[in-house]
Amino acid sequence: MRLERLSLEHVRGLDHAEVRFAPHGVTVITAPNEAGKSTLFDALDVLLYEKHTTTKAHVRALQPAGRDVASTISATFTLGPHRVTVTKRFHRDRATEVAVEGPSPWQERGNEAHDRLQELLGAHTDLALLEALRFRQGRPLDALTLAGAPSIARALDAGAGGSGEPDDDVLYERIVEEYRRYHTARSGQEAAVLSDAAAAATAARDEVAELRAKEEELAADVDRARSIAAERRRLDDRAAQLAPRLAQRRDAARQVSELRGELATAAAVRARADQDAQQATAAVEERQALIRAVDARTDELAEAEAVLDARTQDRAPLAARADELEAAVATAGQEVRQTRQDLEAARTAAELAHVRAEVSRLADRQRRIDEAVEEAEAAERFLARTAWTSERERQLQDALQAHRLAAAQLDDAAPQITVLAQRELSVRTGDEPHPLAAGQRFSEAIHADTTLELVGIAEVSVTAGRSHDERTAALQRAEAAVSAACEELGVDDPEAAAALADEVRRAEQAIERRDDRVLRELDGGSRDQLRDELRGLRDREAVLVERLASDEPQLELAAPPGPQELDRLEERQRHAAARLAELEEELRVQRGAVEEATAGVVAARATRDAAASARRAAHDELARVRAAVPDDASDQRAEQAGIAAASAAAEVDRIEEQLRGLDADTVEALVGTAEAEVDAVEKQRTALQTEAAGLTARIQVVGGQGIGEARQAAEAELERRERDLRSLRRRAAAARALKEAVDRAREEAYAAYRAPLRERIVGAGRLVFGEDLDVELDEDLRVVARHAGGVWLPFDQLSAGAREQLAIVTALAAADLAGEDGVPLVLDDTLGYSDPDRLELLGAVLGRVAGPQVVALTCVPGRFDAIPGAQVVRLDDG
Amino acid sequence: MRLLHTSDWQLGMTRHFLEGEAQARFSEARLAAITRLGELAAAHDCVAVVVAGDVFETSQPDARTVARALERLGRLPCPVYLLPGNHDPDEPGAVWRTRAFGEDRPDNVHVLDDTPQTPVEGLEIRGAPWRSKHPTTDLTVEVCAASPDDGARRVVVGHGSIAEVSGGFDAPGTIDLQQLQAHLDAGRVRYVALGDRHSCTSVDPAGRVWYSGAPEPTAYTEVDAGTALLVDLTDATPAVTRLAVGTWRFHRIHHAVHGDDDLAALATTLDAIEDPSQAIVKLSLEGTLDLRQAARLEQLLEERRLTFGALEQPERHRDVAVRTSDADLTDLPLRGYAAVARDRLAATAAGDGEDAEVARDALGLLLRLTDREGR
Repeated sequence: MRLERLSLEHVRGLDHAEVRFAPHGVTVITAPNEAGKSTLFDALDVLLYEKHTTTKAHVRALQPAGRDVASTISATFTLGPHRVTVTKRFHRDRATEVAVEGPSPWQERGNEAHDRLQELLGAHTDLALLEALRFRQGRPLDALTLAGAPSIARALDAGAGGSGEPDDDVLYERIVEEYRRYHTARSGQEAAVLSDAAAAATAARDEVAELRAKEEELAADVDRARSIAAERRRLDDRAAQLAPRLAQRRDAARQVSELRGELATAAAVRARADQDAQQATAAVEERQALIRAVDARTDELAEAEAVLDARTQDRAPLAARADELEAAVATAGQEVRQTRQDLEAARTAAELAHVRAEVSRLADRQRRIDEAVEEAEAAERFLARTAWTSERERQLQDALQAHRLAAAQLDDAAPQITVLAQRELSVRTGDEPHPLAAGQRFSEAIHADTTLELVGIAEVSVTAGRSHDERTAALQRAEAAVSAACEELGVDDPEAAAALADEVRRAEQAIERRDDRVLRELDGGSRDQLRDELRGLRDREAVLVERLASDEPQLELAAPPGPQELDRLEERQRHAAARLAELEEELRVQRGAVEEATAGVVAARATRDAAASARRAAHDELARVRAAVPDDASDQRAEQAGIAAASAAAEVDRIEEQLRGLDADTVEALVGTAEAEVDAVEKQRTALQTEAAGLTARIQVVGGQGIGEARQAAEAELERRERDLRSLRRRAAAARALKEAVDRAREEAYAAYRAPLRERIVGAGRLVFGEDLDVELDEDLRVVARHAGGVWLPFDQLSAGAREQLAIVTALAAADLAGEDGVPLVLDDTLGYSDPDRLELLGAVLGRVAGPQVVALTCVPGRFDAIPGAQVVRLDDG
Repeated sequence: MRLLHTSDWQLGMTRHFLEGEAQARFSEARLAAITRLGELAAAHDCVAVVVAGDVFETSQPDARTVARALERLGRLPCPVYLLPGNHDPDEPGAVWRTRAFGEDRPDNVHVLDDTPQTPVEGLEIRGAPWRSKHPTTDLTVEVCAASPDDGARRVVVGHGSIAEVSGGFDAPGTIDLQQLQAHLDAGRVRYVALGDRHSCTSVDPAGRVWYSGAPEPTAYTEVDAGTALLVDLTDATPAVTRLAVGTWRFHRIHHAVHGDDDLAALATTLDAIEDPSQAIVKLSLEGTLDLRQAARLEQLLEERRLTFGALEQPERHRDVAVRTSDADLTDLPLRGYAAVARDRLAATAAGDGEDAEVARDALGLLLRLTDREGR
């Protein structure tokens, strides 16, 4: 189809529009947006395919809004050799007119005209390609699908020299279907129908093998049963042969056996005769032995008695010595007791002495304590009684002082008599004489008239002067004061007072000393303890005195005995004890010896008794034997028994000789052999019988299982299965070979088939995509990949612009390939994705188009300016 | 006084070329033969039926086969004497000794052993049963020899081949015809009923020794099977009449196929066979066919295989050469890649060997698939 002209009246917003198309190359139709440029080709569709009578919505939509007017569409185009002008009026005054010029021109109106137009279109227009080459606004940027376009297919077929018939695909599908009957789709392995058949054949083969094996087993069993039967028959024959031989040998054996019986009897007789002979001989020997025994026993008795005597004599001194020792031991014991008693008494006496000393000591202490206490008590009483006080004492002392002063003063005034003894003499003044040794002096002041006596020689009187009186008076007053003080003290004179004072001081000292003394005597204890101790000692003393009185010491004690005495006594006692022990040991040893000797005597006595008893027994036995059989008779009997034994032995020898003659051992051995053989045969028969029974049972069971027929059936089945399998495999091989051959040829054909289209795409697109452009087409002639800039990219991954450009290039190639069968390529506001550079290049591509008709509609002024030689139509130009 | 002589029933036989129900019908026909023999025995007033060996196909037939056989034997109008043959020798484990056979055996059914049988006064039957698959002596002659030469009406039932009939082999156990005849002449035996050969055959010129033939055929090689013999022993020389019993037929057809005419002739030949459902046919073909003719041959046989009891054919047309003629190739209205594939296969098919065969098959398949398109 090649468009020549399209005109519209009252179609949508267009009151009138007419476009004339360049017969070849590009026609650019420009119009402002919404000016109705898309209406052009919508109207062309309606003109071509819709009857004027139609009321379809999209047709009604062509009527201008709000105007009840007819829409008229008219177009002129060529279809192959035909030039067709179609005019249709819709909505009002509806009409169709078709005028065809060319080889068989015609002109028609109405629906008939429409129908004839459709036929013409069907025959000369590739409607699929027409649709494919229509790039509407907003069309998805998919790869162009050309597979359904017959004109392309024809063109490619023509190029590839193929049939181009669509039935080829039907045939191919059948080939594939046949292939898939026997092969899996994915891996081309054997399909179930084949593997099942193979499995069935294998199963059948196994079945046959199993049944054959069973049959063979059965056959083997049958063979074995047969050979067992034969063997049993052979054994029966053998048994029959063996029976008489066994009987014969048993006869011979029986003869031997009888002889052996006789031999046994003879042997028994001989044994008895031997026994009798032996007994008789034994009796004789026994008698002689008895006689010898009596003699021997007699000797033994004598010997035993001698031994007894000797031992009895040996024992006597030993016993005597033992008795002596016993007496000594008794004496020593007495000594020990006595010395111990003495020692005890001495110890008691010593203790008593000690106790008594202690009692005495303690009693002294007791007494001293009592004295101290009494003294103190007396002092206390004195002190309580005396008039002495220390005040009075001091007054006295003061008075005395005064007296002494007065006296001194008197002395000073008084004459001094001095006597110097020429020899020994006594001087007295007053009462008191003063002895003087030769050369000694006596002086005294004379206060008053005084007489001085030289005892035995002379008396001298001295009279006091007057001045002296006064002093004497003073002295007297002093003496009165002293007397008064003494009186106060209850004493007569100052000496008494001094004595009283001493007495008071002693009393006080006694009181003071009392505790010291008591404590010293108690020595840490108490007076009660002391008393108790003293009492205990006295009790002990009483005990000891009593003990001493009760004992009867054998010796006079030097009371109390000293340590030496005690040591001596102890030594004596130890000595006595040691002596006793020594004697006792000796006695023990001696007693052992005595006992041993006694045992020897007892044993000797027992031996003697036994010997006596034995001799008596031997004697009695001999007497008994002799009483039974006299010695002569016994000898005679022994001789007769010897003769009988010899006779019996001769009989045994005779029979043994006979047995040797019969070769008895061999006869018996042969019976054994024959019996063993019969036994062996019998055992084999039994074993075979058992085996045969088992075999029979098994054969019976297996034989009843119908395995023969089953095996034949299985073999037939196997034959069939294998035949089926071979047939299936043959068909499968044929299907595979066919498919492989067809696949290969098809692939080659497709490659050849697609080549022209690919070449055209590459040729046209190089300008846009570069010199190394290549494309890959699939079976539906879709571009699936593009090679450019050294890189293959899947179509889907190309940019929107590249996809759009590639689609247009492909469409251009298709339009070019279709040639005279082609249809216009319509680009309705496309290339919105392309940048100006690419747009320019694409324009150059479109500008090169020679054969195909390209219509580019655009509302963007300048978009297709780059197409050289394009025919430009402005729609608003009318 | 008549008896019915039959043999080689081979009950339980299976044939690999019989598919599915055909085998069942074939087996059933063999059992049905027993009933037909019974009807013949009744019709001819026979006093006994002797089966001269190979009653069963094997010594170990299926229990169902045995039970069905005994059930039919029990309905026979007279005593039946079964002889164990080489297929079913009376050996341990054999059907004769199974408990099932012993328990189910009807009273009128007897298995021949060494004991002479007297079904009626004046007739003695002696059997020479096989006791193993490989007898070492001439069983039949031995039985004859053991019989008194009293001229009694005595029938010996035997089984085995006779050198003069089956060919010149001299295996142990082969029946010595001359000795048989000597015993017949000596008056020990009056008739020898033989089995083993499935084709009905008279062995003795005087008509005293016969193979009865199998009542139903079993193989293509059988000349005259499907028979039984009616033996009239009234006179000193037996009068033997052949009776038709069989319902199935084996056919061996050799046919040349060199073109469409031959194929048509083959179809005619096959269609001429009577009662095809009981026909077992083995085809041997020779000739040369083109692809289309070969396909037509396949189709022709495929159609008849449905109606015949069995239709055996060589699996790979070994004797039929399939050539891929130019006409074949151009007749296939193929263009484009299909044509290319066809031509390549044809080139391979023109050669020899496995690949060539596969290529021929592939071409045949292509032809079939293309023909399905109605071109």
